[in-house]
Amino acid sequence: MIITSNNCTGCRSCELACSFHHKKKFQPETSSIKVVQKPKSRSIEVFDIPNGSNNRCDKCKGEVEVLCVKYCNPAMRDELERLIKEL
Amino acid sequence: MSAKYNGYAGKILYVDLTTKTATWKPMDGYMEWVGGLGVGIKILYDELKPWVTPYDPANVLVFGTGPMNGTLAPASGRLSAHSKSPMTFGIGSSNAGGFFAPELKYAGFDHVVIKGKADRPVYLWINDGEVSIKDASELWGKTTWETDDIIKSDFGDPGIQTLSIGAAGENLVRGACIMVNKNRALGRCGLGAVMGSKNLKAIAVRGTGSVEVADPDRFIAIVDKMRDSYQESKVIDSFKALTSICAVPGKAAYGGMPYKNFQDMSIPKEMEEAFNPEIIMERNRESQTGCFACPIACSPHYYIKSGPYAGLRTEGTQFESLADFGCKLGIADFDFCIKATSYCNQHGIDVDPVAEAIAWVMECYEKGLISDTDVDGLKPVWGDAGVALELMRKIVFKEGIGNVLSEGVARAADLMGENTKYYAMHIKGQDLYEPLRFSIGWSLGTCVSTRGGGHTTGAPVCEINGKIDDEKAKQRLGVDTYNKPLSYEGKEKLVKYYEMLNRLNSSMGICIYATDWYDAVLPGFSELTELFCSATGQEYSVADLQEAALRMLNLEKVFNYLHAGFDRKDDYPTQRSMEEEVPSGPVKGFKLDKGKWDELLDKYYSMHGWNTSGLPTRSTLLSLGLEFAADDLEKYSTQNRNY
Repeated sequence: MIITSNNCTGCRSCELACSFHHKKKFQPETSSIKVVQKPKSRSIEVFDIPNGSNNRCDKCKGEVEVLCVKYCNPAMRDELERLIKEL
Repeated sequence: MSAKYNGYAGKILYVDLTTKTATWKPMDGYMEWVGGLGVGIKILYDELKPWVTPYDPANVLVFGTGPMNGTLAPASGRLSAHSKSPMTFGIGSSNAGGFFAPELKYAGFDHVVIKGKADRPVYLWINDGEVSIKDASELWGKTTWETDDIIKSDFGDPGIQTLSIGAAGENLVRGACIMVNKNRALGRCGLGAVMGSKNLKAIAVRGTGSVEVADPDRFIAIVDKMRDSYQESKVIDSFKALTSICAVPGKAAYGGMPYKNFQDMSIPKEMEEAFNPEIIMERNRESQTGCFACPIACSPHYYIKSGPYAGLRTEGTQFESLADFGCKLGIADFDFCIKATSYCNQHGIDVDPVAEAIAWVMECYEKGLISDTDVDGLKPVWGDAGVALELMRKIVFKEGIGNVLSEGVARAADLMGENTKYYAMHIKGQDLYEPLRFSIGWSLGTCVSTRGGGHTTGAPVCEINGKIDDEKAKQRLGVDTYNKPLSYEGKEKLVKYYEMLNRLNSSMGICIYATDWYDAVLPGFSELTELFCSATGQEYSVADLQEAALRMLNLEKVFNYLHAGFDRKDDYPTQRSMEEEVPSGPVKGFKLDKGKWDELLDKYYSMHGWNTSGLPTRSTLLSLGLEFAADDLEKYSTQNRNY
């Protein structure tokens, strides 16, 4: 699922946090979320099935909270949380 | 990956453009230099002899990441770059945000060392440990924005990160910078000209690997603690809301603006109103983004809706651009600042030397020291945006007067005449952006900076930061006068604190705005040490890392003496700052006092264990494990370094 948002700052902390959940190391390539900078906004894609090296989003099974949401900037957090819930 | 390289990729890539070969060596032997800046200057010291000149193929250009790049450590997108500076012939050192540094780590390298000179334009392609030197004849002449687009499009991968030079670097303009992605700059020290001298148009990198940390749970705990601290800072609140131009009201209140080539420290009311940050944000900002892993996100994306620059859409234009293009040139128009900044970014030239060269021309013209015929028939009067843009173009393409101005203001004044030198504002031969006659610690940090001016290697901002937490600042800094900008007392200690902190920032890959350089409630030495230890698995104390930072500074000092002959005589403010009283505003009547400056330098040198000439003593160098540098200093000290 993909959304486009102006509130995303494009910092990719979500990708790092997600890969840390899956692998206990930092590797955006294995993340279940991908952020791409567009000319006027950012696109945020979450993978509900495996996509190449990207793992399937398991909604942070085993974690206290959903990590991409935890490390997202406050202005974007609700949008991201909704996206994950809708998966 | 071996556990001994936790936090690092573990490899330094060496590329020789003359022989078109690439090899790599393990990080071993360099890890005590932390990473980034520390490793970069040690490589520079090891590889360069004093007689090498900046555009010689023998000069080296080092790009460096630190152990935090690629991790979730806050604001860990910083990349450092080092070379012999075309501006000063001493240490060239620059730092930029963006996304290149983490990508380089994921591609398998901590540092890239460029040597030699290609026989035709090339670019370097680093793809998951594989390195190739590719033809860049189609890219030569393109802007940095076009170059970034073309490379990504050619490979069909938006995940590629680029460094590139524009026309300024290609044409060996001394103030040329290297653009990271499109709008982040390795700005000062002319590193883009070094890249141009090597016929290297760009470096593109893509990596799918990982960065591992030694103790993941301990690492995440300190990351979370640091991120929480950004919620507590009023300074960060304002920075996030208004970017670095949030500094306009404060700087205007303290008198810290470089108005009309530093003639005054305050700006007219109508200019202050034109630069009101809230109004600018409302009018021009479309959105705001951040560098890699940054919870602050200070980068505005602007769009100009109407007027002479209508339709321009770009990222960036921070306080420095406003001070340079607005205040220094007397142009009360933020849209012009956006336009000028984007022109510089596209053509790969640092905003500071461009603005200083134009301001110097305008002041010399005002004083009758140069005429229309000296500047190709232009009439360079304060406030003329059209003339400023035309001079900018001439500098980038070395046309007419641009040939002179492209050399930097110190050399330009040498060429134009003795009576113009007083108005050429530079430190150690590099064009100056920093106002001096309003803040003593800031001035000291700027004037002693090893790279020739610059406020990011030891200059404190706390002296005029009214929103700072007073109790915490006194506790951390140990200097009660930290917020008394016109006091000389204790300022050497403030500068030493930030010389160490900023070197650790740039060696680990963390932005200085994310640490207590910017506000005393933000992470400082203890948090950086905890980050470093939990990531690398090495047990360093705060004192160990502070010593590592001092080791870097002392090696920079020795490098500068061996390569450029810099000593005490090069650590003074501009003549204007010591001779002319500020004519108006909050610091009216103030000037820097030569006698007090000498006393301050004496205290600063003595605190560092340097002699009265400002050079490290043998015992200081030995205490830092720099015996080789002490030997070099003795060996070369009597030789003439004016190559």
